[in-house]
Amino acid sequence: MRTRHSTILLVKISLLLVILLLGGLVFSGCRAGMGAVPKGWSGGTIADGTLLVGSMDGKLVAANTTDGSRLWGVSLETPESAGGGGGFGCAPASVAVAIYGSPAVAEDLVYVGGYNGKIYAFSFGRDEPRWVYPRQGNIGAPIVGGIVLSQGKLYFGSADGKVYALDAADGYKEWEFPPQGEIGKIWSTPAIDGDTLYIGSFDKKLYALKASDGSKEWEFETEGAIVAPPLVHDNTVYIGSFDRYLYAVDAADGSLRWKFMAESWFWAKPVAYNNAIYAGCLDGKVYALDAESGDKLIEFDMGSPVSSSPVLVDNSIIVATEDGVVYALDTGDNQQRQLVNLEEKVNAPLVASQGIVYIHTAEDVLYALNAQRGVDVWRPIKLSGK
Amino acid sequence: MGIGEIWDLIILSPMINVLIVLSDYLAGSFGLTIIVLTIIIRTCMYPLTLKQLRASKAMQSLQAEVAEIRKKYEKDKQRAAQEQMKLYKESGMNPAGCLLPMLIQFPVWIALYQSIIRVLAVAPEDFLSLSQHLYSAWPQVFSLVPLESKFLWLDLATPDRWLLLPILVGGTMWVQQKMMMSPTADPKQQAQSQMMLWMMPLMFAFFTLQFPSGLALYWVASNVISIVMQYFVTGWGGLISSPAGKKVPGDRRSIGHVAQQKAPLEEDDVSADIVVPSSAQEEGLDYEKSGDKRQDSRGSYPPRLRAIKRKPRRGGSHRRKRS
Repeated sequence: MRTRHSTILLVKISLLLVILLLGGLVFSGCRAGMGAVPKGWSGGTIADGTLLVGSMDGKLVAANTTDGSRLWGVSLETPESAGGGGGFGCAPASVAVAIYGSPAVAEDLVYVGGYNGKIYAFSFGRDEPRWVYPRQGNIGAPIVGGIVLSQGKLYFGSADGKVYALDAADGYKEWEFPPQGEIGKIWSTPAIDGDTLYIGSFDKKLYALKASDGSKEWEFETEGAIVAPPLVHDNTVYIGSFDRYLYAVDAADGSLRWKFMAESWFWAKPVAYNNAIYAGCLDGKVYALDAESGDKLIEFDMGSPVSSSPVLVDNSIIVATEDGVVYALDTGDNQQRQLVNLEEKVNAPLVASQGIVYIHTAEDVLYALNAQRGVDVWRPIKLSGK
Repeated sequence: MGIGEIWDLIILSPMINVLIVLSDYLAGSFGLTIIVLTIIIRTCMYPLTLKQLRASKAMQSLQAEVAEIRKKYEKDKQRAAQEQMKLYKESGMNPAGCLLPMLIQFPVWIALYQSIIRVLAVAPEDFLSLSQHLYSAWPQVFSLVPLESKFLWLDLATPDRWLLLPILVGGTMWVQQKMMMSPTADPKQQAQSQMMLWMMPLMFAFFTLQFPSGLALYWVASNVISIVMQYFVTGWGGLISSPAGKKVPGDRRSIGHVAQQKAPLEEDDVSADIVVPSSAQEEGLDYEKSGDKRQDSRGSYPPRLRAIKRKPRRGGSHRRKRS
């Protein structure tokens, strides 16, 4: 009988272990790093001396670019109305709406997409959105890519496998692509050139759509999913893919001009300057390629993956690695210079204005660095928690 | 190198890459991939599982000796524990060995969970970190992700909203538990057994509501494999239960009364005569296979256990006959 007790004791120990393990898994699964909790990595957008950025506690924050003072902050959802947070994944643990895409600004409105599958339009300084799309509920999938504005319309892709165009004034839908069904999940930020919108998808294709009505002009298929935003330069679309290639595609008809193979995924948007394409890669390198032929001019070893889109300041490409080291790549003499080591993870795209680079780190801290010297222009500000 | 890096290097990265390559061979079906992975893992663990099943059966078969030790050292619990451990040791078993297969599966669960949220692109942060786990020597893995999350009615990245998977997880686990259960006439024991029988399945069913369906699919597949393994080793066990102490004709388990009778019956040990030790079931299987007609050993022990020296009990016969 007592043996049976010891057997039961063993079973009880097993039970306890299972409870601890699975409980720990639930707990840790709802925390960053191990689990599926989206935190966001919004880049900034600058308009009239104001930097607009999405914080990791689900707020749209406006900061003064001169002194870094916080001008305004508004939550995308209140805890009461969020019904449990981000809306997808391990959402019930958090009420914050993750923001990945950089906000867009037009006249008096700021637009931002949330991981909860909604687009918000806020008037500067107002806590209530002017409009929300969709009016009821959400799109049905997260919005990870950014929004682009062109000729009174907002364009964005969604993880529901559709591209949307909304009227920027009232948020009513102009068109969606495809009209029926869906293409692959979309995390990429679109690019607009003239009346054509370019966007990549998880279905391994780059789409060129007519911005006015959403009809497809052409599609270009790669061997891997596409998350990187496309760069349109000199009638060529440059797009990185998960098949480890950077493609140069004719913007008019979608024909391949050249492709270049790296050692890992391309996640960041390339930068074009002086007939060269600078593409950061998750293999920890930035490749400088001839824009015409795709020949490698030089590669810069960053020592850590580059997921944050670099930015051009004067004649330097400013790059931040995932490890938080910020470099200036001189396009003249191809010298690589470390500006600063932030010691914080960086995934958000960089934004620059008037020689200052703004970096939003994974610790939700906003830095303003002098692009020449790498020193702080103003004291870094913590975006969340206020 | 930190623990996290060691974990990534030894467990997480291999699992991620194997899952991706496997899915490529299985027409991109991640659901099938998880099932095949479960079969592979359980096959690798088969020797250990077998050892566990046999160990738990052997532990039950030693209850007669343990009961005697307890009786003998009733007033010296420490000594009783020492003697008990000595008995286990002499019999070549480790009570903690029963937990080993479960403990080994913990890292598998964690790694599978982490793999699922990465390869299915559940959250951008996790998906971005996936690239650091991919083997550059296997170039195809870069292009194959994210994997397809749809499988049957399930989205493997999210909990099953139709609640079928929690029922399947709980149901298969219940069957597995029930097969392992020994019938008892002791109400206290029965209540405890019933609690254990329902608690684990309900708990896992609850967890299935919280975790991605992919992990729950692993649990279902693993449970089904366990049931099959258990069936071939011990038969249906407690699943086809009979009234306590009574033999059910045609039931493999009924042969277990060989061992029932070897147990010393005591006034205060009501349950001792109705427990069906698994080792006896195994014996029964062997007898059936060999065509041996022996039905009742009349209290004799398996050869291995005969080697254990037993002291006659004070007063009265060594073993009582059933009434």
